[in-house]
Order: sequence, then structure tokens, then C-alpha cells
Amino acid sequence: MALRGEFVAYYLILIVVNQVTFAQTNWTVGDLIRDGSMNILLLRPLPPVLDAVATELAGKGVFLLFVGPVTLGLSLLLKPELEWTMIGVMAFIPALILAWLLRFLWGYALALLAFWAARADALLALTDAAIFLLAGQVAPISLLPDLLRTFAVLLPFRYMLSFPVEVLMNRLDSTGLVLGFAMQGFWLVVALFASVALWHRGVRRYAAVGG
Amino acid sequence: MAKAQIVIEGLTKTYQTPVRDPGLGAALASLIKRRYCSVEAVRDVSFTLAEGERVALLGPNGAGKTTLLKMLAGLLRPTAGTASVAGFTPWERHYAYLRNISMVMGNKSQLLWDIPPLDSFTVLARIYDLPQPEFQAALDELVALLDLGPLLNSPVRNLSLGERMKCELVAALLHRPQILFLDEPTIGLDVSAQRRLRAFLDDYNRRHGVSFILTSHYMADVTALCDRVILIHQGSLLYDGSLRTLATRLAPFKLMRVTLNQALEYEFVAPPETELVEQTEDSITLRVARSATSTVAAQLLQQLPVADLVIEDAPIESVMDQIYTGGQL
Repeated sequence: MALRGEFVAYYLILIVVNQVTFAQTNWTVGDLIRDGSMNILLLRPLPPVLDAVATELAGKGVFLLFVGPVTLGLSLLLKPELEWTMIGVMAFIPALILAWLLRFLWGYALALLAFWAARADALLALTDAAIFLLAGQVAPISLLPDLLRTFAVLLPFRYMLSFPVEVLMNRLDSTGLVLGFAMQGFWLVVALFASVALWHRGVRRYAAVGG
Repeated sequence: MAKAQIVIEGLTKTYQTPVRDPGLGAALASLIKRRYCSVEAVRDVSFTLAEGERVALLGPNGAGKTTLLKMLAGLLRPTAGTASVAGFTPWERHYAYLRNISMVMGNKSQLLWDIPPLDSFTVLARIYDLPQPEFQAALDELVALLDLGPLLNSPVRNLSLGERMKCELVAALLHRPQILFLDEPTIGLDVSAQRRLRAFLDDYNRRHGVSFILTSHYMADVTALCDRVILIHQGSLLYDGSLRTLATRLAPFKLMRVTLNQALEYEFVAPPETELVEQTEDSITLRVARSATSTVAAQLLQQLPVADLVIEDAPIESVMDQIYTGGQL
């Protein structure tokens, strides 16, 4: 029975973390570039990425208003079992924030490819597929076959979703925890550099549709 | 003469546009090797603009007007040439520059669709770091000038196009820019909304000395707002000067409309130095060389059963059409 309770806890936390880290604006940034609405943002004295960040934060507030009660209802019904530890909770908060930043910046960098290609958002769909497979959605990482697990640990997708869940559920020993944060940090830096570089090159290229 | 605020020299913009043949095969091939063709949207354009001056950019669709405006607003980088606007190079997009300008695009909205304009204005006030009293003063003035009061609190999607355009202007002017780029601001508006918008721009320019560059296909906008016009054709500057001079230079003829009090029983033959524009059962319209106006008028009065005769300048629209289709002055 304990195993069932743990599974329930895992997936309930996964639902919430997925909602918190899902970057819905990445799907619209490409449209802004293609249809020329980016012009409006470029005319303002602040970095256009802040428009996406603001939309993200506002969206999170609204989504969580719904997801919160639903998760609460489900947990009353399904009786999850979770052993809290102080260190787990304390590590969970930064892991969650970094996961959102990573998922956001990774998606933002891909969305910026719209400066070059008309349908860059196909890559976002690919990312979602990878997250389904390698970020603990189809099954917890620890239950994946060896090869997939290796991919999951090395690629960035786990650190966008499953890692904070594993942290909160105490699934990691201290080495796993440190390595996890290191990988998360590494991919975050990669995504940040990619976004900045693509932005600067893209804006130079930007052909501002119409006229 | 006020000092020059906009100085552009040899501004040129060449777009690289991907091209491919229709069909799936060509689509796949273009994934591997893209072909581009160069489109010269703006070629070697130079002019200067003084503080507070109002200029219309004219030209047919695709002439390069919007490209030129976008370069000045910092949205596009030119392929060659230089521009200095209020001391800045626009496409470096310094925040100090962006605070000094505004661009209104008739076909793009900067208001958030689902919330009342007042909320969008408040966000803009934060973006431009406007202190509350300044924001309030600017807002009050614009609301009064544009007669906006009750609209401020309805969601933008419930506003009519004319009402929305007024709100766009408020959004563009809240931070009191010194230079305004107006890209077809009256597109799609009904005649009285157009007229109110023009009156507003005229008034606002006088009050605050804001310079503006306007593009519009409505000649009424141009005649009402701009003494100076810059004519662009296929990317090149064709004319820079007053609209009146352009019209007389281009239309060395007048239109003569004769209303007949009975139908003609014979075929009407246009006199020399005239051209028949239109003939109906009870009217004849001729294009007459300016120099021949009085002779032709006398002749017509003598020959035809005239009920009424009107002589007028060629409408500016037909003058423009002549340039756009002819491509030269």
C-alpha cells in the first residue's frame, strides 16, 4: 500500500511542478516575431523578454488558483504518502525556481529561432515530447530502462520537471542532490547563453514584417 | 528655421527574401538549400527634418515608406547610410532614444485586448518611468483632447476601430515623445473619425511642438496635416517639397465639368488641348491644359446647351495616381 501512496504523491507533486514550470509564452514568442508584433515590444525602453516573464508570472498565479484546489481534492481522495524532511523542502524551492528558469529559457531560445525559420515551434513540440519521456512524466526516472535513464540524467529535460519532484520526495542521496543541482545549473547557463546569443543575432536580422 | 532634428543620408535597405517554387518538392529542396532574392526596399534616401516639422511620406503600396519609418524608429537596420534622430542612431535602440519617440501603426495595437485601456496606460506609465503627477497630467490632457472619458474602462475588444485608434494615440503620447512616426494612423476609420484624428494631431503638434512623419493613403490626411511631402517610388526619393508645388507641377491641367440641359443629338468631339474624361447623357467632363482654360470654356459655352459649367483643379488623388502608375515626375 505504501508504494501506491508514494506513486500518488509523486504524480500529484509532478502535476503541480509541471504547472509551475510550464512556459506557455514560448509558444507565442515565435508568433510575435513572425507576424511583426515584436515591433511593439522593440519600441519600448525595456528588454522584450520581460514581456514574456511578466506574462509567465501572471499566468502562474491564475493557473495555480485552479490547480491548487484540484490537487488538494485529489490528495484527499487518493491519500498520497510523503515523508517530508526539512532539507528536502529547503532544496525543493531553489530546484523548482531553477527548473522554471531552465524550461523558460530553453523554450525561449528555441522560440527565437523564428527569426530564421518560419515554424521553429516544431522544436518546442519536440521538447514537450522529450519532457514526457525523459522528465518523469511517463514514469519516474528511477524506473526507466538503463539507456533512457542515462539520457535522462545527462540531458536537460529532467531538470525542468522531475528533479524538483525527486528532491521533495527524498529520492536522492546527497551525491545525487549535488549532481542534480550541478546539472541543472550547467544547462541553465547553456540556455541563458543560447537565449542571449540568439536574441542579439536575431534582432539584427529581424526583418519586421510588412511595409 | 528651427534646428534639424532628423538628418538622414543615403539610407538604403535591401531585404533578403527567401524564394521557392510552389509544391512539396520545392519546399523540401528549400530546406537544404535556400534561395534568396534581394529586394531593394529603400534606395539612397536623404532628407532633413526640423524640430516640430510635419511631413507626409507618400508613395504607392510597397514603395518603401514603412521600411523607412521602421528604420527611423529603430526597428530595422539599414544596409547602408546614416541617420541621426534627436542626436541618436535609431537602430542602436538606446532607451533614451526610445523614450523620445513613438510609433503608431494603424494595423498593430499596443493595447492589451482583454483589459480596459486605462490598465494598459498604467502599465505604460511604469514602463516609461513616468512619475504619477506627470502621467496623470498627460492622461487628463489626452483624454480631454480626444474626448475619451467613458471608453477608458471598457475592455479594448469592445471598442470600435475609431475609439481604439484614439486609445492607441493616448498610449503613444503618454510619455510625451518629441518625435512621432505615424504609419497609416487613419486606416479603416470613417470620415468623421479621420477628421477628428487629424484635428487632434494638428492641435497636439501646435501645443507641444512634436515633429511627425506620417504615411497615409488618404490624401485628406496629407492636405490637412502636412505642408511638406516626401514622395517615395520604388524605394527612391522622387520629390521633397510642398504639396501645392507638386500638384501644379504634375497636373498642368484643370477639370471642366459641363452639365447639359438637353442630350446631344450628335457625337461630341473634344476640342484641341483637351481630353475627354467622361461623358454621360447630360454631362461632359474634360481635362483641359491650364493655359487653354478660358478659350475652351468660351468655346463650350458657345457650342453646347450648357446648364452649368464648373472648372476645378485636378483632385490630388488623380495626381498621385498619375505618379504612381507613371513612376516619375
